[in-house]
Amino acid sequence: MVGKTIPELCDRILADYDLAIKLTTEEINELIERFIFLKKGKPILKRIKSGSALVVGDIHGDFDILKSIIDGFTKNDYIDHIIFLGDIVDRGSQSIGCLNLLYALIIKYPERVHFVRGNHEAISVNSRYGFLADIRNFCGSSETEEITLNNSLPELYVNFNRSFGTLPLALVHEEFRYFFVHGGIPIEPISLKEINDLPKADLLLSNPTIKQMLWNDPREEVEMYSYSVRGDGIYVYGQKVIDNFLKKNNLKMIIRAHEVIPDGYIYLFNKKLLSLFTSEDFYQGVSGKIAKITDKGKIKIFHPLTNSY
Amino acid sequence: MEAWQIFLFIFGFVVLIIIIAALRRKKQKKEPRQAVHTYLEHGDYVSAGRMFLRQKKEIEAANLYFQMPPDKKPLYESMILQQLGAQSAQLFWIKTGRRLERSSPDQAKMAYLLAGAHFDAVKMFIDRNNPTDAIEIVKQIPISHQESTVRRLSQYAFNRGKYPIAADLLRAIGLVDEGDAILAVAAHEFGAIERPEIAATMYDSVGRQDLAGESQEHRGEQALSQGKIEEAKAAFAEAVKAYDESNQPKNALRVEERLKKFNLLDKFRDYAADGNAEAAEDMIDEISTSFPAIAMSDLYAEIASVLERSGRPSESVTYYDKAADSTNNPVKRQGYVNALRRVGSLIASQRGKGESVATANLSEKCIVCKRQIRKGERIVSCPHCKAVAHYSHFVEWLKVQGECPSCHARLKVDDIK
Repeated sequence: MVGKTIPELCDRILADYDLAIKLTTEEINELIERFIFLKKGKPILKRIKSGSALVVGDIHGDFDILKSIIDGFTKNDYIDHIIFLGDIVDRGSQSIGCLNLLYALIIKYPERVHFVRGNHEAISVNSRYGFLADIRNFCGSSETEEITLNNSLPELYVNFNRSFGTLPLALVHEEFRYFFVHGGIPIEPISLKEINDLPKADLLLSNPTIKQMLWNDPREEVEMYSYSVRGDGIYVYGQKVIDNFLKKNNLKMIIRAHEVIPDGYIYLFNKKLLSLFTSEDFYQGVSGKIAKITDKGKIKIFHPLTNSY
Repeated sequence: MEAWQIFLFIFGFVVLIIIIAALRRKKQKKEPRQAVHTYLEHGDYVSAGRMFLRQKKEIEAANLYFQMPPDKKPLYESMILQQLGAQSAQLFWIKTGRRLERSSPDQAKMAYLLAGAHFDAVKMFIDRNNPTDAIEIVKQIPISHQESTVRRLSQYAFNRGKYPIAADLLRAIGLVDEGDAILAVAAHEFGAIERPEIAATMYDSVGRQDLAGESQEHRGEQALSQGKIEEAKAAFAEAVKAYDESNQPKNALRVEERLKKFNLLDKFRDYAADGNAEAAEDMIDEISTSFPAIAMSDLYAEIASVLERSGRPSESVTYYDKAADSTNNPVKRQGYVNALRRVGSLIASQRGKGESVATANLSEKCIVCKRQIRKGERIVSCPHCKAVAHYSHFVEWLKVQGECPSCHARLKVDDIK
């Protein structure tokens, strides 16, 4: 990237999305460094005051879907915000391209684009579900990476995971009282202030609350909570946990992702919880959906490739 | 003797034996320790242990286990299981482990493993910074819950800042990439919070010698700015090595150039140690241009202290004085002034007859060597013409010539006052 600044690079990517797949290791590293610079020190609970918003569920390396969503967002400037609920990487074919495109978008519109951390934005998961392998392939084919470093960890992977450490854990829409998070809420009652005091950059997800917010699932058949098949320290939560949380923090609805849903979306608990799933690349028979929150607070669900923005 | 007499005799004898037996039994009940001892004397550890357990002496029962020869242990273990039941036996061993964690980790480890408490055993070794033993135990954990246990242990180590152990544990069960990544990201965080030495070792262990080199160089600079010369030198040497390993000759050469300047310091040290004060002093300017972090006063003080220690206190005065003059640090200056006082009293106690110390640089020259007399030098004046000379020069002169070199009055060494 000789003689070109980062903003110029971002403009170029947003003018031609496919450029995001063709970046060199150096360019990606510079994008990451700028991203970290922007995000470092920001609170772990992000707040947006008001305005309309697009909400995007798991992407999992589905570059085509991401392109159409970002296209819809940038071409319709009456949409104030776009919220990504995490899990951009792993499983699908274009994890790196998706991150590049998303980072370029965030650097271009830091106040309007929000990226909430997902469970795949953690080393313990993305070292095994495709992201690391993708980066190894990418660096192996690129001439810039030195041959001596073949067996070691690619620096790109380390840098991406550093940037994941700067992501917020959850987001609140203060006007409509919506709560956005990747997995859900912890089983212990928690206030927004307590969430805001959680440690950031928790590399191993050693904080049980953070782990639960990234991993827990809602289940209508459970009253309070129960153990989850997903592993140690992970739970499924039911009506009472949700009611307690919403009441305690004066919230209307939880909007989350994290689960594969055939229709791409599902309302649970009398519309107190919305679960979204957007990726189509890796999941056959799944129809990915995104949600649009209008400036009146109404929620509209649609397929990202239809022109309903 | 009549028959009834014999019968009575036998009857009396039997009663006596019964009484004695009963007494002995009572005695045994009162002093079961003795019974334990009897068991132990016969090497019957199992019975002794059972007796301890019946008396709720769990600590003794556990200690006994560690004293017996290894071939008797399995039987003893099954005795405990039989005596206490599975759950209490596990609790027994865990308690034993906790109790011995500090005094004898090896025994504690044995106890934990008997309880199947791998987690506690590894945790103990993490606390004791012993990754080798920790990893050995991790490999024994049943595969069904190995990964989840290791993850928890790794978190435990990580949260206590023991990043290398956290990574090693993950690597030990085949999660090599994850371990490397954790270490590398943590290394970046450390680089950012000014702990390059930790970052360097971490980079090194994930195979990023190039970054390790950078961190070492950073560490060297940091040490240099704090005046820690030896550490800086070691760090730069490590940096050269790391750059060499990662095939970056340019960087290696650059650091080597820096390393060469440390030779200046070595040479200075050599001169100072040999007592070649003037040669050492000549180098001070050059050193302070190459190493701005090194205070000139420290160098002067180093020369002075070598002189002082090698029995040349009067010469050390000059250098302590220069040290005091060349520092703005009041604490340091006070230290040098104290040294001057100390040396002064030393000189006073050693002073020969008629000898004194120049309190300032004098305008006069020594009448023997013709050099100007400087502050702190031992001087003497001729009792007749009052001409000034270095004390040792004047004494030497009198011994050979027997007269004052200035006024030619006849003098002996004893005549100096």
